[in-house]
Amino acid sequence: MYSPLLRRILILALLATALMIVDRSTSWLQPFRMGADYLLRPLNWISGVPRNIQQWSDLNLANKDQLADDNKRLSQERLIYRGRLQRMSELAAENLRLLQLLNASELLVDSVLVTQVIGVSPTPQRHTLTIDRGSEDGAYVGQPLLDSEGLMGQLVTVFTSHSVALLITDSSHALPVKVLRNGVRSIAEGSADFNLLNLRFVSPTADIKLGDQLLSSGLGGRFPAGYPVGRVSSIEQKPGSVFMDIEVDPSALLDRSTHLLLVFTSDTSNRMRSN
Amino acid sequence: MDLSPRSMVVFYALFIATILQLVPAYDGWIDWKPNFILTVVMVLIVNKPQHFGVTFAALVGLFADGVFGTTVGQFMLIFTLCGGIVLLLSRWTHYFAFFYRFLVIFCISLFAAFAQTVLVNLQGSLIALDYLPGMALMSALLLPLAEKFMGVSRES
Repeated sequence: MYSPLLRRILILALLATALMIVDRSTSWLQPFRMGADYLLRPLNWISGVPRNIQQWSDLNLANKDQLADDNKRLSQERLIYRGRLQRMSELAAENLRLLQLLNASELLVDSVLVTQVIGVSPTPQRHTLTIDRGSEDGAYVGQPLLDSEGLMGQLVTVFTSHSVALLITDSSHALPVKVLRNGVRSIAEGSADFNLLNLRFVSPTADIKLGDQLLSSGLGGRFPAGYPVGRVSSIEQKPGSVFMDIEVDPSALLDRSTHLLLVFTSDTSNRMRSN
Repeated sequence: MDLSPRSMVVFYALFIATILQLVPAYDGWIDWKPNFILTVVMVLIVNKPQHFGVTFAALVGLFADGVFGTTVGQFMLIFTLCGGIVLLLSRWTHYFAFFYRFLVIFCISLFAAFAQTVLVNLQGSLIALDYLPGMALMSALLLPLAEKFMGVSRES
């Protein structure tokens, strides 16, 4: 008596599997994805209403004393950062002179564009964000994304007015990094946990210590060099294992930041000019 | 085109489930976030197997692929398998009391989350399984609310 039902289940399961294979190996289903994204935009907006209300209330319902305190704290912070910036300018100029002496072509100046998160992945398996900048703002696939603390990820799909970014903690993401202290290189892989990255294939003799700051190394040309990625939080050497298990605490607030920066490297500018 | 009241209730239930699915969850809460869309579909199939079949589950699964941004066909396959299992057992599940329906939804949600993790891992990612029970439990806890909202509750 189950045969028609079983046959239908089998046909639909085969159809779904065929769709998965087609979607993984071709771009034929891209229009479906684009259409779904446009249809879901109003729903994304509605789902963001509670967060927008909270942000609005934080901004407008704060009392005068709190605003005054914030103002004072921000003024002090601005003063401190301006002081540090002066020192940074001097160091950057000195670094540029040294690089010129070495005939190196390191990227030093990146321009940025402020963007806001308008949606996050509804499933824990995928770490993605939707931001409110698209191709009409100059965004492109592979463009790096930062928050105030460090590297967040890169754009993987760009629409006209919005884009989807893959975070560095997504389990399919890997990023070349180097240790700030000594320049040791490695690959930081996502772990599907917002608070954890893993360093892969690090030899037990590598000079990496607890608390070491990791920066993007710029290898591969996807991410610009020198942006904070994370700090080493655990080092373990399992008996019999050829490599060390190293865990990294990401610098960026991957599950909290709402205002981000899209980085336009000078490579991009050159490419856009040549186009 | 006139839609029957039942169709409208199903439409509203899926609409609300989609909105809830898209609401961001922060600070580890995402591991406890149920699959609202799957729960709505399973509640309908458990309670009304004569009205909602495996094709309905597959179509909503395809819609869920759009919502979740996953590989097209991934949720279609999961929803088809889950709907198929419930339909194959519908001769019994249709007469289950609330507690047993709760268990059915819990087990189906657990299976769905496990199948989804396996499919994601087959595509080259490495996802841990530790979030599955919490997610399935939250999905099952939605059962009374979903049944009440869609008017399929059999408890007086």
